[in-house]
Amino acid sequence: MHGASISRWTMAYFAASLAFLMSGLVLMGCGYGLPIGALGTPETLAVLHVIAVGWLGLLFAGALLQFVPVLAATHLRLPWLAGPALVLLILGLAVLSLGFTALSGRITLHLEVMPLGGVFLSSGFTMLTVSLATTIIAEKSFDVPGILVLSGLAGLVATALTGSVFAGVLSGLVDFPDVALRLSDLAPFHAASGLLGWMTITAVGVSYRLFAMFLLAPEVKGSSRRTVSTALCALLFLCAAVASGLHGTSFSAMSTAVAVLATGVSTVFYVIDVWRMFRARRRKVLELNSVAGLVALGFLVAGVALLQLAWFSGVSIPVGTAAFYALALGWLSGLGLSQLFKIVPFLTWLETYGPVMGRGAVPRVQDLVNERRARGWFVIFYLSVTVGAGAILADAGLFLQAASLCQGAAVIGLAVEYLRARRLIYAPADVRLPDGAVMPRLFYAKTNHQE
Amino acid sequence: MALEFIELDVRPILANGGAPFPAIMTVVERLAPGQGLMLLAPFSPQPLFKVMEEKGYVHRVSELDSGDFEVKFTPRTTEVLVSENVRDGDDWPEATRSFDFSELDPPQPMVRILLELETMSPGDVLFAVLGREPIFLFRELTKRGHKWAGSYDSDGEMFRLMIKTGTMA
Repeated sequence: MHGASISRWTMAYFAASLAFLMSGLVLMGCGYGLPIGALGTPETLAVLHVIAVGWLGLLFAGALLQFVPVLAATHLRLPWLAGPALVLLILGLAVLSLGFTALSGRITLHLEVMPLGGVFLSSGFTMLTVSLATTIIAEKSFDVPGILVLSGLAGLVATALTGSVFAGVLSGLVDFPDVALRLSDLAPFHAASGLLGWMTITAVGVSYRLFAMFLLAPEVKGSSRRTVSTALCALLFLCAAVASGLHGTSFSAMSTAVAVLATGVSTVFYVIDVWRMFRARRRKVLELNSVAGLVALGFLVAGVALLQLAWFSGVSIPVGTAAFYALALGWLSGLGLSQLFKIVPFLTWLETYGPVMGRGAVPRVQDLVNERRARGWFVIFYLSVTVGAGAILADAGLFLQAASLCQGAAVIGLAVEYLRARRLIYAPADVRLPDGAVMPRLFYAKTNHQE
Repeated sequence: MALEFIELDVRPILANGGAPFPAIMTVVERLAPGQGLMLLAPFSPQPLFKVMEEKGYVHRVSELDSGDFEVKFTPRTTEVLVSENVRDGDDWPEATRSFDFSELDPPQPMVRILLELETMSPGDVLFAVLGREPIFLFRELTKRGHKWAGSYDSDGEMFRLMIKTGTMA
């Protein structure tokens, strides 16, 4: 069967991910687990995982469940895995967070739950990886977006694997002295394989298609291969650095240097490609999702630049922390929030009006959103991320707390806008629900496109 | 839908001392998605291969018992997609409406096509050029009983779609 259909669980993934983002930001706003100073404290690790896995992980998973079939122009393979995977991921993250809290001594709990959380998370992500990778491979969709999403999935596997080993070591359940002694040295690799190896590579891959679509620009074809090859090079050397890092050899430092440099080069190539698409675009007045997405790109550049600075100056705290903060909150979160502002109304529109389209008047996609309201929230969000990054560099915990609260408010504001789009609140009353159209459910898409 | 070949016999043209090239090009320009060209000639037309390759066709030459040659030109990279309800031997009349939606912002092409189809008679054919494969449109078309066939053009830039309106629309 040709064509893609609406992903059944994507909205549930998005809703859960936004809930995790709000909780993470509120925790930081209350001063819990601020990423200032040493990052290895259990409180910080708990907050980092709520944001990285709960927010970004679920967001990317939900988005890929919809995008991979679109990129490969086919139906999702093994679609029944998506629901159970979501349950496992939420459960895994909850258990892992409890484990970190126990590690901090705030609650009494057997630390053995930590690897259990790791097992849940790994199982959930493995199920998704199998479903997504099978879809791409079965359709032989090996163009630039396809290859990048597959590489990103490899990054996800690497992240889940190292994370599970860490969880085992921290709980004392497994005994890897090599890992236990170098945990704080190895943790940045785990973060890099997640934020860069998995999410950034995936986001870059998907955005080649999305930016072309939303900017009405021709897709760059030939030149994007250099982004792929340098990104793959970075990923390979990152893995090599982790593997050799276990023994603390000098090769590890060299591999890391190559990985960091390749990341920088790849980012430059990617930004040049987006700039070309931007220049060649036929849509002169950009929609809010594109503008906010391009701002996120600025944070990618800033984050990668800080990463180079952190590595080559050897000042991992606070420069490295600020780099990962800019990447996680400015680049990935900013991109995620801005694209949700397009994806949620678009999927809602397709689900609601697809069956009745052509038989009467229906709203346009842009009738389902209110850009004016959302614009303010995006401004607050990006400003507070900038303040937050500055606060980390200046070691100013109170500023970081305030920035986190502002981000939390902006995210709540945007979540309300997504909710309004999903409930068709802004749709003109006369065409809001024409005959035959059904109000979509909040967290679960009707699969009327599936036979 | 199996690939359909339009047959062109240039032997009579050559026998009359005419130039076959314009006739060949006329046929090639009219090839629809999923159509190839079957050429019958008294010799293997080497110069044509390069021209056709640039237009996105691959060729296969076979010598006939008569000593003449049959050359089949098949669209190269363009895999033709057809809806599940299309049967071999389906009749595809000339399109009654043609549109170029390649400049339209998604999902406008989908809206416009579904709107047009509602006002067409069963059996009528709509032809549209699109900027990309309309992946969300396909299932809606099949659900409404329409048949469709489409492919990217030879340089992979535009998607050409033919839709035959169904009776249960």
